[in-house]
Amino acid sequence: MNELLQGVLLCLHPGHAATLFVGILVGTVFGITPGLQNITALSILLPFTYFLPPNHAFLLMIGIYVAGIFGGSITAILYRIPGAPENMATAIDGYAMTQRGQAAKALGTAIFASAFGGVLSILVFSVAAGQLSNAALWFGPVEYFSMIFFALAMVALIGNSPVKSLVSVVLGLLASTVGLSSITGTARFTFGSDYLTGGFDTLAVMVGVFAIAEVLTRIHAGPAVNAVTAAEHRGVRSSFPTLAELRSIWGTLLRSTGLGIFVGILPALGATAAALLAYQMERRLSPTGKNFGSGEMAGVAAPEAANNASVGGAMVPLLTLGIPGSSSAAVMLTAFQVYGMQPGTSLFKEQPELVSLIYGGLLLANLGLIVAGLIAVRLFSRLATIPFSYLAPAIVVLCAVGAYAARSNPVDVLAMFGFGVFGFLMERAGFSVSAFVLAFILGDVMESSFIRTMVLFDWSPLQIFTYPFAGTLVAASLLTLLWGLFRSASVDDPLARAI
Amino acid sequence: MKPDLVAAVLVLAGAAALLFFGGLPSLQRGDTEFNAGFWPTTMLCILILLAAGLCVHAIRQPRGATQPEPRRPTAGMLRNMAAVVAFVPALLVFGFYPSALAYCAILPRVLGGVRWRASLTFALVFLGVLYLVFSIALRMDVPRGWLGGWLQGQGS
Repeated sequence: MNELLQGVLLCLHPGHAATLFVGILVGTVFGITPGLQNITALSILLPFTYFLPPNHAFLLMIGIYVAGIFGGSITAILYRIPGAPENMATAIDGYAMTQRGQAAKALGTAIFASAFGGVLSILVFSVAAGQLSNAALWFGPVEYFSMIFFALAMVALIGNSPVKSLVSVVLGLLASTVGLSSITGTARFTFGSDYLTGGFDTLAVMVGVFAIAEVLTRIHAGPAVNAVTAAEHRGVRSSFPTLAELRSIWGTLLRSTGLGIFVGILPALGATAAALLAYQMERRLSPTGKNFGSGEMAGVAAPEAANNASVGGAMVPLLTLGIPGSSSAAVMLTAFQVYGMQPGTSLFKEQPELVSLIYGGLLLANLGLIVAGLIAVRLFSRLATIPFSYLAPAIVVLCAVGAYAARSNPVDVLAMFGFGVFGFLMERAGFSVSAFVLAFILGDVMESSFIRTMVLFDWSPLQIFTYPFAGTLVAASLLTLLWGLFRSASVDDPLARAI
Repeated sequence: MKPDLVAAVLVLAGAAALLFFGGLPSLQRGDTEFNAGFWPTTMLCILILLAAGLCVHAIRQPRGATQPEPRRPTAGMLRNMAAVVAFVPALLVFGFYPSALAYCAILPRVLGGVRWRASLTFALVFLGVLYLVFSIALRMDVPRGWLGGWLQGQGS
């Protein structure tokens, strides 16, 4: 906690504060723009860190990292276009609230939940970093596989047709196998193509099935319809939840933050898995869970608290073990290496001021979200009244740049449009694109965890039930899947209907 | 034809095609555990089973029971969708800025409700901002397209 207080004081120096604020604004803008997310901004910034002092470089990155995760919720709420995968679940209830004329409330809830989750995770991180990283060490391939299996099983239960959602999950897992196997290096489904040998880029897939498919869906829906008419807009602003409303979502905020911290610690899962797991968890635990999808505040608060809380969680293994807890944290690890630093116990001993600065920067960045959120909402919420005729080409062009930016490969743009048409057709046929994307993102980790687990068990899968944590998760997933496959389609699930 | 049945048949056919013609490493008795074909083969088999189940379910359901009949796409709708996707070939041939400029000028007119002057103004302003942000401030690489690459080759 002393390091945290020291760090806050360091960050309040004018130069440091200005750098952090610039990072927050840049991160918010990148987060808002479909196809550009915080990892894009961090990757672009990385070469420029060579020219910056390390303090400023890390503060800029922290601002972008934290705000980028939040920024995507704005377009998710106003347009049902998540700015990044971690805002997928926010789009469901957030957009439903916008359609009911409650965009301000939805945006305010997202801002508050993001700040709450982020601040609490940093406080926990600063107190318990050591113990949390020890818990992460305990997780092996068996636990990884069971967690991902559980997550995908829960996602597969969405929709009126669990079978269709399961098909979506399996399609996503299959799409993730295109390219070279991460275990053996063998080419799969490449058909002699150099592009396919590199696999599909996650950004191209995500932007395609959400942003491009959304443009096509709006065209298919008929004459252009704005989410908010100019008469209704009258200056959309954010309005924070009232005390009574906060009391009603208090449990959601705490549970989602806890889950976000835990998931953030685990490398490779990150903010997307945190947000989706939190949404699914709160569908079952929240008193208003059964109404998720029709515009519930808790449906916005859960994923936003979790995805920002995962940032603090991701910093735990990064700073204590040198293991990035997310792809954005991986970029920050590269920055450490640029400056000749190695995260771990040596970093705490040799660079205590930098560690304190990072703690303080994370805390202030999450608090700064409130200011940035208010500014961004007022400035960018007017986008909601822009005619679709202008929005469509703007979205498509920006997405094309975003898809190209990841690997400077024009074929990624082609892939993005291909997945856009694919996502549009999936939605028309009643399949879940969110299940597809989540499975695609987690597919590689799931496969490698599964293979390692089977090697450990000498290909005797029943041994997984000798591991209490993993066995419980797998058993719960299998039972729930079987129940879901045979249940009657009586519950309308928001994830498949709304995305 | 029932849309669910069409979707299920397509998934079934696609999965079967990939399983038999996808070029996956074949699984044989005594193969090492690290056969790269194991996981995708398992997924394809699961997909085939699920798709077969969907087919059976769709055949047994009366029309419109699980999903409303889809709206037939109108000519205008197809034209608009094609216009959205037309950006791809333009980008690959002409590069990002020329194709984006033309796209942002033409698509608003195609989608309707916008005059030429407004769409041209929008295209110029929007592309100007993108140029300043991406190429000047961020120095981001944007696609040059076949034409851009050819012109560069001619220049050198």
